[in-house]
Amino acid sequence: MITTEELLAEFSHEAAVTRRPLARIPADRLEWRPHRKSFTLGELGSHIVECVGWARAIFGADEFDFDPRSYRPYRPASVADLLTEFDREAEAGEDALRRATTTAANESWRLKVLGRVRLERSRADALRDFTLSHQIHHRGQLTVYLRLLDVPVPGSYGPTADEPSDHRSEDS
Amino acid sequence: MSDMTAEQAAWMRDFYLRPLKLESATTLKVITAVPVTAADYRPDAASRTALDLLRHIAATDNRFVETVLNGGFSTDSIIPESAQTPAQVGEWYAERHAANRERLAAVPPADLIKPVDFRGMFTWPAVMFLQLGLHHTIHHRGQLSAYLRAMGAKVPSIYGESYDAAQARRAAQTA
Repeated sequence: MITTEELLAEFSHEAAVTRRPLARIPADRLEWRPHRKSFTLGELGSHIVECVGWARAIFGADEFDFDPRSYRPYRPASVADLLTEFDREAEAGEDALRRATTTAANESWRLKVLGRVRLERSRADALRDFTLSHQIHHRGQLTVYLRLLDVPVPGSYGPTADEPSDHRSEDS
Repeated sequence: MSDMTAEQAAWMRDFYLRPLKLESATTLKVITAVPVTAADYRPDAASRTALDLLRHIAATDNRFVETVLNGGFSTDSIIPESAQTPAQVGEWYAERHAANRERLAAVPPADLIKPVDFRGMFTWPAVMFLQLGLHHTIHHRGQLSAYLRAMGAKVPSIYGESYDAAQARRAAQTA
């Protein structure tokens, strides 16, 4: 079975990679969006913070009961505020993973909406889907936002046009 | 990771089979959502075109699984040059990935912990390349979904209902 040490290492690594493009968001562009149907930069950053925050929810309890009536998405007042919230959620997720046992990581966790179970899967699977994959997906989107704003894009899985010396690269 | 046992590696392989299948279906949707008329779109002169990006996704998603199957990382091109439209790339990608996943499920556990060198940069047990490949694909697929929106194409649902999918659902409900 997958261990909490492995999950923690992966979570911490991805959070560190995600923080780099978040820190590049221009201070005066939180309201910018590439298309009228898209998230603004502030909304996208906020959503990435939420993705990271799922680690605490998944490893802090046996279930999470979501109430859409009271849900108020976090909206950063500034990039500094966004980074502070991101760091707080990343640290909370790391703490929850450190406290968890490997047995608990492989036990079921439930997502409810207004008391009704909508999803049940192992915590390890839930972490992969809700926190890791979801975060990486939106981080990829964020790098395109940065590119469209002519902000140098940091490497995630290889070099970028702006930072060609990153340590990994893959060809097609 | 160097002290990973074959039993642990087999468990990890089995753990990744689920997201590999799940994410592959989503990846196919995003690849084929690129209109053929917009394949040359790029958000910046320094960026890949949409076609280059989707070919990269299709090739590397298979390449990382094949790294485990072959016990080595190769940079040889695997995607046929003849696949030059999103539909052609998608067809090649889906067929090859499904076959690769089937082969992956049958890899003997001892082969999953064979050390694999990644371009002289690091050496990992073969099975760990599944994680790297999954993350790499999701990252670039996220980029491609941002291309879709910026080029004015429809974005399929990925980790939740997309704006366009929600609109289609509402339209169907009122029809």
